[in-house]
Amino acid sequence: MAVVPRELILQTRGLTRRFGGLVAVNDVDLSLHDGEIRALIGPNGAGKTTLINVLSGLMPASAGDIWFRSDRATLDGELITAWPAARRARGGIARTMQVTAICPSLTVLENVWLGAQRSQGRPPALVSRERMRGVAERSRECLELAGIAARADEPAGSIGHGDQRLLEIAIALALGPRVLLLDEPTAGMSVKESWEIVTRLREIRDRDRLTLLIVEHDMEIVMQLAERITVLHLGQTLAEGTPDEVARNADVQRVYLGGR
Amino acid sequence: MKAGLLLLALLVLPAGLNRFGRFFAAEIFTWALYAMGFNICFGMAGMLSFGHAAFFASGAYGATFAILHVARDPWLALAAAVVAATALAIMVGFFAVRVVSHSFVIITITFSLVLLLLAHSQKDVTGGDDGLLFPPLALFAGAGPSLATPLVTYYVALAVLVLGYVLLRRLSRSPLGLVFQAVRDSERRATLTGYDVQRYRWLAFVLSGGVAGLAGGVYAITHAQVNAQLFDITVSVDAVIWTLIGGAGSVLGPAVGAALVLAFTHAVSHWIVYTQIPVGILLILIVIFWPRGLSGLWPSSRAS
Amino acid sequence: MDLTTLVLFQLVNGLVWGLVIALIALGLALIFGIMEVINVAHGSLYMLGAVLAWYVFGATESFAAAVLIAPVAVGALSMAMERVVLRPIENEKVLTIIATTGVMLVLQHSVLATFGGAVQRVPSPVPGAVRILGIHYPVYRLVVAAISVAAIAGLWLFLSRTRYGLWLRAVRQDGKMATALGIPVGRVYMLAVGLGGLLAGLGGVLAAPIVVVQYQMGFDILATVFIVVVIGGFGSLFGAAATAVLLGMLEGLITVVATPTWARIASLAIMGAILLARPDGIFRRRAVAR
Repeated sequence: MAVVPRELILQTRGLTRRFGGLVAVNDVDLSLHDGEIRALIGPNGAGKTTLINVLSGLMPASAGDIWFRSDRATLDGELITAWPAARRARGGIARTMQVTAICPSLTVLENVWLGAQRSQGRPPALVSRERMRGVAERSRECLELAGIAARADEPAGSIGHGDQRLLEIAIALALGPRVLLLDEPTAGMSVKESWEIVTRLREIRDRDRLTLLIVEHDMEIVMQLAERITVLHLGQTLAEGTPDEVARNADVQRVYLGGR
Repeated sequence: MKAGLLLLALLVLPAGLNRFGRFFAAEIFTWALYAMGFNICFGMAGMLSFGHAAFFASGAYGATFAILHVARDPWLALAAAVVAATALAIMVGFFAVRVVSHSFVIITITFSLVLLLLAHSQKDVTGGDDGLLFPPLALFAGAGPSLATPLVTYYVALAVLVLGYVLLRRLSRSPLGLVFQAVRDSERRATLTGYDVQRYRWLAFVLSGGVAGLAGGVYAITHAQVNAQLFDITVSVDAVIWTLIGGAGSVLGPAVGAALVLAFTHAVSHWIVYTQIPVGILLILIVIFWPRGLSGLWPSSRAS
Repeated sequence: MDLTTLVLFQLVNGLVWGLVIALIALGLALIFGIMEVINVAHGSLYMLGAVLAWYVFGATESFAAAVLIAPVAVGALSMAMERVVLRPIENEKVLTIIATTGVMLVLQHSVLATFGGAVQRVPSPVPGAVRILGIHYPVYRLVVAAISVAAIAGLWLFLSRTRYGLWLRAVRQDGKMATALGIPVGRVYMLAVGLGGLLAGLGGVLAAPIVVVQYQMGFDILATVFIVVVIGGFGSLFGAAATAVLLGMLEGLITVVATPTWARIASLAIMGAILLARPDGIFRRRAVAR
């Protein structure tokens, strides 16, 4: 694999999140580069989902900073630590949830539309959605990419959990983000489905120069998909590096891979 | 298509109605618009308000003040109605939408009750229970047919209702309408897709209040009088009941609910003086025997 | 009356009235805590208690009879309401709003049809005043306070010491678990609603000589009681009672400087502000199993 130098796109410095006396995320320094596929692994309770929650803005950080470069054209980024979640989504950081959050009474297409209409600038408030061809196309495109185009007109509440996760991915893509945070995207999926989605994700990354941070438990997928891996343990970074480096790391073996 | 046919029928209906029939139909149109406005807040954005009487009544009073102090022009009065109700909704809504579900219901009851108390206590401004009266208006500020004529009232109320319907239909098919529904279904989804939930809730509340106020304006110009009882909680409860019965999931649902209940009440009044007793029994029976007939939605504030 | 006396007088007034509100609010909180029912008819149950008190007192000249008969009658009616109207639709929030609104309309207008819309007065059953804390205070209101406290204490004993009370608390905590444990949940629902109605009816009986009795008196109370229950922390019994008493005293205090209407408006505004600051109420319930 050729090593292409990539610029920094998302960085945390000393990121900490406390819940009362419990420190769920402890002084984490994470640096994501443009177009990278990073896996975030660790035992249960390591703080992975909390870290994603803080990155996406659903929870405020207790300490530390988050730096983000939303504009591809420059190397200047900004501190987004104080940005609320909606602003981060608008700014280019999208995420999927472990327990899916979708609009059950809207159709699958309408759900994606929510994301797609965002990326088309600001339409006048009372334009009929039927007239918005650009948004329609983009929505269908994202449904295709996620693999649920067949379900477009079904109420989102009536599709299976696996498809709901794919829907979340479709909505996230429709936003046209720079960074996509995925919280256990393959949980509950069959082996075949998991690999399908993994392949799709890689294609999307190649196509759109998306940066992916994936929380994942399935080690095979992690080893195959990730370019770099960050291992969390008890809220702190235990190890970080290429899949080979991490697999050989003694601490990691002891804490995570060894105990099986 | 169906709406077009319905409109056609409504346009020719007065030919078959007597004076009272036309007047009663105009009443239904007014309240139907009120209920449809309420439903922007409830059915579309998922916030149950038990205080919408405040918007209807402030619209009615806004129209009345315009007529008494500015000009005897019904269209100006309607504009004033919308302005008054919208202003109130902007102020109250800013705070109200920051809480959800049970607390939101209580806040709406509270501010509506405060306005009711004020309306009764400030009798020199509002006229209290006796209210304010003015001579019936002419359709075009001094010229044209009188709004005391049921036929004229009928068409004016119908016209405003149709206008409201067209706007609401557009809203429900627009990107904005989609966001309202998303906020209703899943606050979290809306947030993660980049929408500021409080802002959109506020906007829905304001639009809802504005349309309810417009209906209040129609009430004022067609009755040529208003009183403090328009602020009463029964008016708020009516909106909820009509919407739940007619169905909160469509634009016309609340209008249908209003028409059904008002027609039922009127029909029953021929035999029974205390019409609210059979109305109450009807509500209970509907709930027990036909619960799925009500496509109501409870605002799912905690839905992930 | 000088200022301190006035303040004291109004505070005690507020306390008494707050205790009455507490009874009604406890009833509502019980019903809501058990079934998540927003009982729009609760104000009408209060009104019914007052109307029955007026009627029984008029027929028997005995207030004691009214205190015994009216709450029980209202409680029985509430149980019937639960069985017939609420049971088929339990847990459907939207439907219970419609259903209890229907009950409210029926109750209100049945009273209107039967007794007319004229305002009725119930003479104070215990005349005279007594000197306490340096003020001349009506004996009856002290009796009201005493009965209210006794009823609240009785409720507390019932919930904490009897088997039915235990069942009630279990169903409040976790309905499904309670069913699994063999608790007759249906009977518990009926009991809770019956108790809730009884408390509201008792509040009505006690209030009858203080306020005017009229078929619409339930509305005013309804808003206040709802606010109290939500601010008290939805479903928290202690919270509801405490908030009711505090609200009563607050409003009493404000009437020292303002008319009753403005006192009402001010206390509503304050309640609204509290709710905006603490939407989940002040005294939150510990384990809320939904």
